[in-house]
Amino acid sequence: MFSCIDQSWDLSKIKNDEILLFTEGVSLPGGNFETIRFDKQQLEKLLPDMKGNLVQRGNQMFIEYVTDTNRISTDEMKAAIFDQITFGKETPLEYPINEFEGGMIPAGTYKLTTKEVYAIDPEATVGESIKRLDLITLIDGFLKIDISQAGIMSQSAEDQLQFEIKVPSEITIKESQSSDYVFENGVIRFSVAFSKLSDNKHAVILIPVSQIDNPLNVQPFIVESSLVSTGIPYNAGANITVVMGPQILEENMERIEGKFSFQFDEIQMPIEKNLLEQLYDAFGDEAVIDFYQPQLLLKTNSSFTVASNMDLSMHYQLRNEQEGSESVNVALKASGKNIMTETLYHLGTRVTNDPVNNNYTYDLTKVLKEGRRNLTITAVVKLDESVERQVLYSHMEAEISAVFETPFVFGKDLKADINEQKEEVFDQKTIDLLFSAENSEVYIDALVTKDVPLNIKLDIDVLDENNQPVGVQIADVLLSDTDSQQIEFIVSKEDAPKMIRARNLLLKGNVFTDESLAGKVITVDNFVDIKNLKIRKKGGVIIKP
Amino acid sequence: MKKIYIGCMIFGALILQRTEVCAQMLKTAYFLDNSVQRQNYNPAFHTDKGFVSVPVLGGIGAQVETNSFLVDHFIYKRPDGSLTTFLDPSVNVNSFIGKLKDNNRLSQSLDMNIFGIGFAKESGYWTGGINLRQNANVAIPKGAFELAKLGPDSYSPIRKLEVNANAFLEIYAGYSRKLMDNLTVGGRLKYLGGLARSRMKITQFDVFSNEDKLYAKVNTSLETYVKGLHNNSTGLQEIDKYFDNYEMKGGYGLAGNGLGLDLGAEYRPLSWLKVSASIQDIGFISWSKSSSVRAASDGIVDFVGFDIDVNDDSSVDNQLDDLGDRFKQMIKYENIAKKAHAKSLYMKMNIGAEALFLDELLGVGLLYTNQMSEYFPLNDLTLSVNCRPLDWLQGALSTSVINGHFGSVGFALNIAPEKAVNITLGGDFIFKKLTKQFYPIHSYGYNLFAGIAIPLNI
Repeated sequence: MFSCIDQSWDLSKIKNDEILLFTEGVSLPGGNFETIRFDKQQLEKLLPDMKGNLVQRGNQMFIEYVTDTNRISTDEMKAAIFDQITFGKETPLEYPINEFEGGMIPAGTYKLTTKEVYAIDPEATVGESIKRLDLITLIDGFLKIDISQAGIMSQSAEDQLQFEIKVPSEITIKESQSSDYVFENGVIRFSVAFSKLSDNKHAVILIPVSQIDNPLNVQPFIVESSLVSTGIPYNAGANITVVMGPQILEENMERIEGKFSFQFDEIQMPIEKNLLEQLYDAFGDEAVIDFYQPQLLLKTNSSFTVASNMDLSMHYQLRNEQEGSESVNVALKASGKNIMTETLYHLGTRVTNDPVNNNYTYDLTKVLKEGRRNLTITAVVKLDESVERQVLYSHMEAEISAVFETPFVFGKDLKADINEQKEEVFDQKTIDLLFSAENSEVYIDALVTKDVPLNIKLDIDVLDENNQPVGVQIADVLLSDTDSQQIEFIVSKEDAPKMIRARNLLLKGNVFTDESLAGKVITVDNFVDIKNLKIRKKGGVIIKP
Repeated sequence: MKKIYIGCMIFGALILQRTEVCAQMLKTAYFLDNSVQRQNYNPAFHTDKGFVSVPVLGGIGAQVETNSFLVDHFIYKRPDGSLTTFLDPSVNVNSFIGKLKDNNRLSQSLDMNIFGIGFAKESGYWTGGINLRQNANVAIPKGAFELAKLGPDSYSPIRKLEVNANAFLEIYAGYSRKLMDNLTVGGRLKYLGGLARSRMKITQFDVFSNEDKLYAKVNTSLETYVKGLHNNSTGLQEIDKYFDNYEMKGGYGLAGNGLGLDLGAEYRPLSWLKVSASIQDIGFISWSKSSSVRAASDGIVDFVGFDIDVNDDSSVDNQLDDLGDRFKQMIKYENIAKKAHAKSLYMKMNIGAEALFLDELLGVGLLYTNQMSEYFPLNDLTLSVNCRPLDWLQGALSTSVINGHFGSVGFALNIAPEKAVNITLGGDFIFKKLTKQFYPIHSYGYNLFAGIAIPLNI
């Protein structure tokens, strides 16, 4: 039996210089990076609007109403807005007007109010300008300008908002109505309603046919009316002029109120580089969280889509003592050029003294898109020339203030950095297992989930216990737009020995945008998650005693 | 000291290294009719004269059988002739894994005849005696090795990993008689006294991870039946600490009782042909509730904590010791309610035929054996050439047709000078290639047997 002993099989001389395990690979969990979000504290200045998109918000009384002008221009609006915008409670930020050349209006919500009380002018006569702009608001993406007027007529002025009403004496408005014009998608819709005039008096609104002038070159201009009344049909087109009265049939009319409302759709607008630098200077470097970069542009592509409806409402009461007619014409002029003229209403002859409330809304989007800088709105109420002493204004006041929100959107040149450090990714056990031998590459995997529309180029620094790089070279990984994907960093076989000192991971993200991402909005909930960190090795783990 | 961490136990290797090689049944001696120990294979067998066995030395046999745990499945030669284990990088992983079964099993048994006697009376032949019997079984699913060699992402589910051991006392009385001139039948009734039984079972071992760590879900149970054994541990304890709490109280005794029965027959249809058949170990042992110590756990443990300490001594022994130690750290136990347990014996069937030539000087025998084990039946077919040159000297050579694939050679020798001594010894697989430490290099079985009896003139 002993002859069968194979001397070469001496089990006492078995020796494993190396042990190979996990040949199909082993991956050890490395934890998660903290979720990257907008800083809540900083979001005191960056607030979500109703859709959750981040906006800057401010409010300001911004129109100084001048009694001798009724002209509203976008220049004036912008100047007023951006000269006095305040971001947050502590840091004022001034925007130079010249940053908004080109007819752009900042996107956002505007509420414009100014208030001025005018004394009753017993000398007012029909045809004098009405001196009051009551309210301009932009809420939830719509700019609404309410213009109300009451009281004393004054001298009308060219290219200014005008209510030409012949009043022999004091006018008192007892009731109010509103009429809105909506100009949306190339269609103007409006309604005009008049209250009954008191004491069996009535007012007549004459709506004369105006020459069609369509500087917007939008064809066809379709105008509809939600309130059909007697009188001359209105026409489509620009150069709208609303002329009210002044066919006052009764001279003891107590009050007339008018209301215009503008509604602007949301727009996106370019904010030039230096402007954004100011913005971030005002916010502080961290204000825009990790998306901050001085070169950030909030920019529209080529035009804006500002909320751009104009609401016009007029409230007045006429007393007419004799039959007559009245008309309301609204004229829009941009840069001094008529772009829309609308005869809103032709009531015809009537006898009433009921209060009248008119509300009109215009969509000014296209106007603004055309780059009109000076927008003039003229509303003229005319009464039948043959009627005398029928309209009496007793009181007039106006106020304009603004609340605005500027959406944060990405420009094409955004650049920012993200740094996230994960401590103790590599403990001694992991290192001993995966890096004891340099037999193969080691992979650092992670699942990246992000819904913020940004490109991120991720790089990883492997740090030692003193947070000094251990010197391994790891190629970066690019994540585009809102892609979520498994990413993989590779520690080369040659670098594996350097990992003996590894302890922490520093994740460096180079954030940037491009043309495809420009204009994408940022929401308060945008995040970047880098989770399920794993350190993986293929080809087995070799252990050397 | 360098610590390394691995994801699996190489338990089989541990077992292989430490299992004593011995034999329970000497198949080669089945046809040597002078051997008094033949009665252990078939109760119909008996010698012409009576005998009394030498106490303790009356018959000692040990046996190991496996379906995959071979030395050369786990130990490899490098090109330069040096030996290394399957853990070495030079060993082709797929080649190693490919040699494994889905469930890799190893059965070991050890029988010792403490006392035995046989004598003829009237027309029958009576036997009696006491045997000490022990067996152990290991079952390791392939996934356990895959976990180590392939990694946590590529292993088959680990289910039904089990190690058990049983020891019991057998007190028997047998009787055989000729029913006809050419037909002998016999039976043996056995009282079985359970000494100890222990079974460790892992029904689930899954590795998974959360964001920070690797974990293993381990569902395991441990049952031990020993008279007077107690374990006072409370709560969930690591296996080593749990074992530390074992203590004996109230003296020793039997932890179980049972009965067993062997039946056999020998038939000589022709003058030159003998056939025989037997069924052994029909019976059971009922392990008592009072002797039981039971524990279980179903929990999640830190898988990374399963590591190896590689120190300056890189011997395989140390490495495997470390593997085993770390594996044990992952298993925790908590006491559960005592419970009785009935366990059947591993029944065995033997069918033999021998053709005799030259006035029975030579014989060619064919023996089929089938033995149940804890997990799988062990089948073998043994071809033997039996020689009876002298009245007191018989010998046989055999080869295993199934397990040995004709590559194994066994031998048996019986020396029985009249009124002097009756010695039987041999082994069924011992002539295969052995390591320097006498381990078979490539054998699915390995056994040895030796027994000494004193002939009686009755």
